[in-house]
Amino acid sequence: MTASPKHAVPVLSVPTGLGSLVFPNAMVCEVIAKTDIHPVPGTRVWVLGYCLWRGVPVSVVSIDMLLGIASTHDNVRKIVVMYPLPGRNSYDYYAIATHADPRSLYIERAVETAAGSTGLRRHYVASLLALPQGLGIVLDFDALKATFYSH
Amino acid sequence: MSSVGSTRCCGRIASLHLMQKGFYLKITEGPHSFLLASDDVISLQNKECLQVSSRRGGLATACLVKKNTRWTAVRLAQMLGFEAGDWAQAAFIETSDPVVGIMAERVHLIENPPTGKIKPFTVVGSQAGGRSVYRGVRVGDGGPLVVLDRDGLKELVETVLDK
Repeated sequence: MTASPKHAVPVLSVPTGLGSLVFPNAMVCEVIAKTDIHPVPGTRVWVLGYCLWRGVPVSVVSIDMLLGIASTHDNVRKIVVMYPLPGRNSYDYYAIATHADPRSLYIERAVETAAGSTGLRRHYVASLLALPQGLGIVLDFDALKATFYSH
Repeated sequence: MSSVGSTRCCGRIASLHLMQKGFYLKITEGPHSFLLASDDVISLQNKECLQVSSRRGGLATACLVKKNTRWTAVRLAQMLGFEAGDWAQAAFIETSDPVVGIMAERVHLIENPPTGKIKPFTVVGSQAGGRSVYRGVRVGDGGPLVVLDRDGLKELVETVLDK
């Protein structure tokens, strides 16, 4: 973990095949080791299934696949459990599968960029940041919610 | 309310009428298993007692004709988009309006064990749109199982039949 400078935002950086997803810490419940993921038929390809987190069933998604970065997501290493999106039921936790260990960072200043984002499905992206660690992807949670819960 | 009734066809039990709280139907299709609460009145029918047909697009359906009524069942695996073997039974939810049914490889009654709990669950990214066909996950002995939602299932069956 980097030192905590004044006015910096603590975030969790979750590696993808193209830079890292950047989540404010307040959105993240827990990072857990890979556990059993049970497939759920009738869902989009980027829904890997559900896992049991502290006895609670949680949908596990591949953001790499949703963003068009990867066509499959076979090598899950960690699962990032997220708090329910605004307006959802208190039990609607969801989880993001990742192929590498997430890292805690502090972002003090960030510059928006589009460099290195070729092939990224921008519909779900609120902004792209040039971070010292590489490309930072901030998701558009309204778009995510609309796609997650279109039923 | 708690009752089970049966009828016979060709010397075998052909149908079961279930109205038992605390019991579930375990529905097996290919590699997947599902639960459906039998709080609703459910009629289980064997394949040989149904009129089997195929619709446009290869959708397998089966009908139960009773007096002036006709109940239609749709293959669960086809609706949810995965492969499964031959179907043998159909479960009709009599308390839905209209009555809808699903066909599956195996359907059998199980008692919800004392250790089993249904946890609410909203799956993300449903392919069908509309209401979700899942309402929970039963967590207990034998591993977790998704629980089907009667109204979501009815909506999906009606959508598929309207196509």
